Amino acid sequence: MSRGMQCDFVRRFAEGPSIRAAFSLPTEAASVTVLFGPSGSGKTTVLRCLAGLDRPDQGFLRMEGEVWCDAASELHLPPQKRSLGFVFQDGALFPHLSAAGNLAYPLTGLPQAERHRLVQAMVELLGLGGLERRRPGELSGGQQQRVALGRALIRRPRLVLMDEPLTALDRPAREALRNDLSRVFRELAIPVLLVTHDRDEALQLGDRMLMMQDGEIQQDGPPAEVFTRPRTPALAEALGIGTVVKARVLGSEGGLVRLLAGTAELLAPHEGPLGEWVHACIRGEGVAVERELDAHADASPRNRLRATITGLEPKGPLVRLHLDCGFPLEALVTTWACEDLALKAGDTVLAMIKATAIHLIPVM
Amino acid sequence: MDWTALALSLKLAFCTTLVLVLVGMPLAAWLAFSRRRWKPLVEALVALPIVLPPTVLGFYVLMALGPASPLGALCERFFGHRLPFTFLGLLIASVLYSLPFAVQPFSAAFASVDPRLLEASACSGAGPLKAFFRLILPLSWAGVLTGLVLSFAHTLGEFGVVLMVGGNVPGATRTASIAIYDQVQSLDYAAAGRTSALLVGVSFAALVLTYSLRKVRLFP
Repeated sequence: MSRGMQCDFVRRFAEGPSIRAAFSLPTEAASVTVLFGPSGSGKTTVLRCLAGLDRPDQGFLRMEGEVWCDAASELHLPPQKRSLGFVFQDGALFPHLSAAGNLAYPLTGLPQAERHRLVQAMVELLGLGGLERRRPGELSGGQQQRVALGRALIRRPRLVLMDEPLTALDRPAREALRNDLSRVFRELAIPVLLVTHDRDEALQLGDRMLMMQDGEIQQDGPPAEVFTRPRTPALAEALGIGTVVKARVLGSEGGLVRLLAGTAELLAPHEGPLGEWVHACIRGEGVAVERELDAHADASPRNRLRATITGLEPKGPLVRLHLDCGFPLEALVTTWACEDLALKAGDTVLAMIKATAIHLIPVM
Repeated sequence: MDWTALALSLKLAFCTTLVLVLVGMPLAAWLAFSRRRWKPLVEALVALPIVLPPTVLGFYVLMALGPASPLGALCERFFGHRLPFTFLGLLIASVLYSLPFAVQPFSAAFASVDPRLLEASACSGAGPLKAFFRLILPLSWAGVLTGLVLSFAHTLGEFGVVLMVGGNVPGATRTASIAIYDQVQSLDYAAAGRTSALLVGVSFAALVLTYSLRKVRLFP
């Protein structure tokens, strides 16, 4: 029972909502838990309470049987007494120390040679070779975040907390670091709690996702599942996405990737390397529906799929159609198109997915 | 030229600055980071020597260190002699008198360190002492240097407090500023002029040194 981290606490603000977090994290194996939610949902507050940078007004926090925080008995370990690493949004590197100096900062009571060895290992793991003696001001944003990550990992803490570590980076740097992160997380067996509002980040890096909204954790599950099956309409709104389906890469040619999602084959554009498995994200606006006229629709190679309507959900001028086409698919059509075609649950239709509406995210 | 007086002034200024480093830094760090409700009281107390006439401060120090006060009696037993009209007594008075000139720049410099760096330090497992020596001090060295030079120069030029607490004992409490006063009293304007010019030169040099050092960037 003392394994892992358990917490259940409330942080109140004089003006604004209360933030409540109640969850547990396994800490024995490497796993990445994503704390996902729109801005203002309280993600950062939860992270700061876990780190000890902020004090909950009520509740407790335990790490492997050790009490880190217990509001009832006014016990509150300061951050330096908690075995953790924290990566800030913009790195928060120490400007007067070199990259190597920043990496070595958390190390204490080690012989010089051992310090050097650990720093060198981190430099190699994070691809920072040749930059050891540079100050943060002489590093690019991506390089700075790598140093910040190394500083958080170097003393092998029990938990690493990351507050939107990729948000401040430009797109290429963000994607490069995202790929490296998934590699680094697997290599070091340290549990990670990652705060983000970026869907790609959550899908690629997360083993588990806590969906936060209005100051509370609303849903807990594998990221693809939370994205595809939000528990409430409000969550679906916040997640702002149609379909997420795990698919196998069958092959690629000329920038087009052939996928097997459920029992259906899809074509999607993608540049850059992919593993064997991907998450295919399909925007509902990119799916059109028509009455099935031709019997040979299934044979069409261009994302034309025979589908059964499993549900209709009016959304203002639009209707959200839930389809089954070998995998669960969501389409967003106008109300008049829906009436025109006289769509109802149980009907068989032809779903056409625009290739450009499919977005692929590698699965780690 | 009264070289003994000048040497004494420099020695007093040096010792005062040294004591202010040891006493002023922790006090400044507390002022910069504490969130106690009664902090303004301490801040006002530290700043008091700026507005008080030196004679008032000197008077209270004289009373406090004199044999009639419990503190003075205790000091007398401890040091084996009375403190007023000795170098040690003068040093205590100088430290009090120059306290704000050290503590205020120190404190302002410490407070200007980005709080997120302090959070990053704590999350790296560093306690307050490590954060102070490895992070806060290196990042606020310009303010610390200003405080050091200001208290040095300020002690070099003090007059009222020295007169009240130290008197005019050659070699022990007769500083350059007292010597100038003496020389004028005895109508030796030439000597007073030389000592004054020297004091101006030393003070100016100290300030020039500070302001040029502040331009040096230790890190990009």
